[in-house]
Formats: sequence, C-alpha cells, structure tokens
Amino acid sequence: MAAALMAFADALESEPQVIARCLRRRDAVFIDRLVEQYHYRLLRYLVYLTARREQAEDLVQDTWMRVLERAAQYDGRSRFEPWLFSIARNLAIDEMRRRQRMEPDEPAERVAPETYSPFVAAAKSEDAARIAAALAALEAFYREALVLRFQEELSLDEIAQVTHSPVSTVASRIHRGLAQLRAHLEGSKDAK
Amino acid sequence: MQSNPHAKAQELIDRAPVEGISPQEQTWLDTHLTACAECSEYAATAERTIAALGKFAFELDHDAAFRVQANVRRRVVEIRPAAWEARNFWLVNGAAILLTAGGSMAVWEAGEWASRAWSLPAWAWQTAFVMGWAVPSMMLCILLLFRGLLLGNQDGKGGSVL
Repeated sequence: MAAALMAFADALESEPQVIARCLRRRDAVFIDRLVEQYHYRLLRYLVYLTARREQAEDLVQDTWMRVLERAAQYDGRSRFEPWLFSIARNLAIDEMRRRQRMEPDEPAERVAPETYSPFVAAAKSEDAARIAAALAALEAFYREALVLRFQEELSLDEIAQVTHSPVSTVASRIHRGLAQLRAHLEGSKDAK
Repeated sequence: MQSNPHAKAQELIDRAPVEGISPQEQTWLDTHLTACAECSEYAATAERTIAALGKFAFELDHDAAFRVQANVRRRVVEIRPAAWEARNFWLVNGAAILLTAGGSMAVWEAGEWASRAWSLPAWAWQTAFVMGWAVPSMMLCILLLFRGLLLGNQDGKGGSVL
C-alpha cells in the first residue's frame, strides 16, 4: 500500500522534482540508482573536458560527494543534468588550477595527445581512431561544448548555465568546434 | 539577408543543429538542397561530423564504477543519521515547548481554582507553583542541556545540546 502511494506520488512529480526530493531525503536506494545511471555520461563529459581518463575517474566520485553536500540547492525546477555537469565542471577547473600551481613549469603539451589521449585509447576502429585524433586536437572548451550539445543534448541555455558563459559564446564555440572537427575529419587544412 | 543562395544554405546548415532554424527556413533549405549538389555535399559532411561524435564511445571501467557507487553509498549512510538526528531534535523540542506551555497553563489554572476553593492567599499557591512546577522543570532543562559538563563527560563537549 505504502509502495503504491509512493509510486503514485512519484507519478505526480516530474523527474527533476523526484530527483530533488530523493536527494534532500538522502534516499540511499535512489541515489545508488542515480550514480549508476549517470556514471558513464559524467565520465564522458569529464574526459572531454580534462582529456585525462584517470583524472576524470577521480572527479566523477568527487562530483557525487559534492552533489550529496549540496543536495538542498537543487530544487528540481530545471533538469538535473545541467546542475550535475556544472558541479563536475567547477571541480574539474579547481583540479586543473591546482595541478597548474603544483607544476607551473610543466609545458601544457608535454604529453603528445596522439599517444596518451583517452580518445585515442578508446578508439576501437579505424573510423573511431580518426575521430579520436580529431577530438584530441580540439581545444577543451570546444570539446566540452560539442559533448554537451550533441551527446548530452543540452539546450544552448543549459550549456550556458553549465559553463557560466553567455549563450552567444556557447553557440560560437559549438560552431567553431564543429568547423574544426569537420576540417580534421575531412582532412582540410583551413580549420580556422 | 544573404544574397548568395549557397552562402545562405550553408549558413542554415550550420545553424540548424545548434540554434535551430524556422520551418520556413527549413523548407527553403530542403528545396535548395534538392537542386544544389555542392550544398548537399556540405550538408552531408555536416551530418557526418555530428554523427561521428555519437559513434565515439569510451569503455567503462566497471571496477571503478563500482568503487564510486560503493563510496557514495557509504557517504549517504554516514550523513543520513546526522540529518535524522537534527530532524528528531527539532521535533522533540517542538513537542516539549508545546507540552510545557500547555502544562504550565493548566497547573496555573488549577492553582488559582484551588486557592479560591480553599480560600488560600495568592502568594501561597504561586509559591507552590514556582517550587513544585517551574523550578523542577528548569532544573531538568539545565541537567539535560549541560549533561556532559554536569555528569563529568571527558570529551570536553559539556553543554552540548545533542
């Protein structure tokens, strides 16, 4: 009976509202499911952003810990994804700044992206390897804009919310990212 | 407004998957693409580029995923009792305040009635109220609030409410 009532209450609420309620109540079963459901998407976004697989794996956990801490801040009025990715992004940027402070003399491109890139490592076919090389060559904020728009299917407003950038900047990044990716994939030299 | 139809078509092809285009623009583009091989090729390339992103996938490290899930689960269990304790604290306090206020009013009324019934002076029943009701209640409150300090708690958290 209680389960039926809970299911009925869930049916009356939108998905973001259910997520907000369960996060506030620290519903262990629901949070467990949420972590499982978003694990791959969160990891993919963080890999696109940081271009470091191991760092992205660590950041996934840090993101969920931060989600638990700030559960009360999510009100369920907007979709969960932008809020989640926004937390992940802030943590990733903090981590990148921290690394930069610790290794100020390390050249940014010390590691050749073609050899160690998580994109290249993930490529399983010749076609995927070509895409991986193109992605590895893109700047992080272009990759980020592309993954949020075409893989996460976030709206421009939502991407702007995640990246704390104006919508026009987001649109421009997507256009430039696509142009560069297209140029790489088609073997063109005039990407910019 | 673009005067060159090819430039206009390519601008619409670029804009469609990002900002979106109007139904009128879509109709114009579709008509143009059926007649223009160059723009059709441009549209196909744009489509292939976006589709390429979807084809690219990372292999999931299931052990790492399981570890994250287990750590998050552990953290939820850790922080949940604190939330429950805080909730219970406010519930119990609210109930105690209501009962104290209600009980005090009832005892005061009873004292007043008794003093009238037995013709007692006001100071007598009021003193009885203070000594028999208010002082024991306050003593109990002090004991509960500062139980750590009064009962010789060694952790230095004397006076802790919880």
